[in-house]
Amino acid sequence: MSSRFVIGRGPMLDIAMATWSAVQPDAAPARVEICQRADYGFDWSALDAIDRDAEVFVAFDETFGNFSRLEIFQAAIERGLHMPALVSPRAMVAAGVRLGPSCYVGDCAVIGAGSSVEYNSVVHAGALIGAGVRIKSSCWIGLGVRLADHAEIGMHCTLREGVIVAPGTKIGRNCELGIAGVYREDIAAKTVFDPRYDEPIVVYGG
Amino acid sequence: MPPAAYRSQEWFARERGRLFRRVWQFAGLKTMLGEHNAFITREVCGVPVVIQNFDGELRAFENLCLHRGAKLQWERAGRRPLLCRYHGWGYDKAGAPANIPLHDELYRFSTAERAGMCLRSFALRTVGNLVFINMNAEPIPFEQQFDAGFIASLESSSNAYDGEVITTTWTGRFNWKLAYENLRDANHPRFVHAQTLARSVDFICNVDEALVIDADAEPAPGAGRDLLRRFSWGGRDAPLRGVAPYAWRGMVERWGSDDAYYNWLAFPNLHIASGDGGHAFTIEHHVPLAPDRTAIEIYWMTAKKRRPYPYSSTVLLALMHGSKLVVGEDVRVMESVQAGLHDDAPQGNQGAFEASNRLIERWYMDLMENGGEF
Repeated sequence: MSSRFVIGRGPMLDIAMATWSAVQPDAAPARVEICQRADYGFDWSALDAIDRDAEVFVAFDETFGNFSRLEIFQAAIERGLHMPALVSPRAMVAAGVRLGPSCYVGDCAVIGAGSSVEYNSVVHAGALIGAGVRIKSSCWIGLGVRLADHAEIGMHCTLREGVIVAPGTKIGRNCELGIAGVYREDIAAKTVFDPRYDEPIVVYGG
Repeated sequence: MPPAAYRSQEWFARERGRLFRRVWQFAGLKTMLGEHNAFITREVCGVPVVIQNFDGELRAFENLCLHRGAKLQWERAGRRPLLCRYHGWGYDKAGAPANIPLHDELYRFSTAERAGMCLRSFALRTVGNLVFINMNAEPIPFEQQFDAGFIASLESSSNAYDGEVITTTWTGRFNWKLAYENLRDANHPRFVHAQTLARSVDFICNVDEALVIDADAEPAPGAGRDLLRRFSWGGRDAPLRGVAPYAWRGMVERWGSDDAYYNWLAFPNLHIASGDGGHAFTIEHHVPLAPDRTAIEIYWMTAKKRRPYPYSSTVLLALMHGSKLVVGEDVRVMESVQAGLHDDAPQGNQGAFEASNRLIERWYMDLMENGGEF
């Protein structure tokens, strides 16, 4: 039985399978689809069938502010599974960059010196991450996103295609930058820029 | 109503003076004003307004400095003293400039001049968690606009709101009255929301015979004043076809126990609903911007949390996206109606089930054409 698994759903599962196969062509991982019920709870039976100490990668999209992916990640941790980062052999990651468990770095992504990507975060293909950038846990950095030097991205942020974050800019946790453009000013936590809306969506209190 | 009521700039200006400057209007949530110096800003009838907490007392002022007219608070909500960023004038809870930096050196206002300086203030009333203001110097009693039962229902339900609130505004290309008419039309969901809301709620549309008689009757002198209270109502509206057992719903103190769609319609332009039996609430505030433009302010909050949970803001965002879908369906229809209006457009023919809209229309037309009764 395989000791390497990619678990998840949707296009991210295909992307991660392809990446792991490129990293280790002679040891393709097993593909494990995970099901979600109508109430959005997960069916863990597929995860329960995996032996402890196996290596897994959680491949799930940014649904529900990346909390769904985090839920699978936590379930894997509770079951004693190991979750190394998955980095495309075509990515360029500077020496010393810290990558947390179950991070993903896609094709042609560039991560500069002194940067860190915390657990369960995804840096998609073509993203350009400067030097000294901090990407906290459970983030989703979309295709070709550019984070200039010393930018800070709070946990559970989603940055979509066409987003550029200026040098040193801080994006608070739980933000979604969904409108292409340059973000030059710090953004308060829980602020959402969604092209379907005329104004930002803001959360107060809590 | 005549097309001019929805299209004419002159009508819009008259409506602002005769209606909106006289009625109590929703202004915000008390939970966003919970601490000393917490504030919210908004524009009411074209006037910039700030509502500010002074040591627990809420005050509403025109949000313009008495020195050069700069806005005192810039953000939509926040926490800072009522202090102008331009030259540092600071204001107290009476609206007086309590601190004018370098006054004696540079300004040299006389005592009398200074005593005459005071921000324009507005009447403010809280009901549970809801804040209302009135722009008139002599506001009508709140109880003249809303009856006691409605006020009690608003108070009880809004006291259940959690303090974490998501909000945004989008602009619709329609007159605000199309929104209140649409909300009092229980026959539209089965057509407009066939694939969304109507799949989970059995909206009840029937004819209120007594209301039909009242809507068609010749009003007695002085009756207009009492009519205003009849334009607002709320509470249990329709049964739900079940409430999905999402995990977050187990983490909030549900208001009530009915699997019901709750609706509160506060004339003229406030709609509050709970589409999941008291687990979460939405506020839609339709703010007139121009004859053919309305700001739709949307708020969502769950019922009070039993304890904090990490993804609560994501729940609120999901609820907001639900509004974008459902309210978006209403907006498309209302924009279509607005786009079809022209000076010679035929007036609508409202049926018996729309008696409440007919009653409002009669009162409103009297207000607009004859000055009406408040």
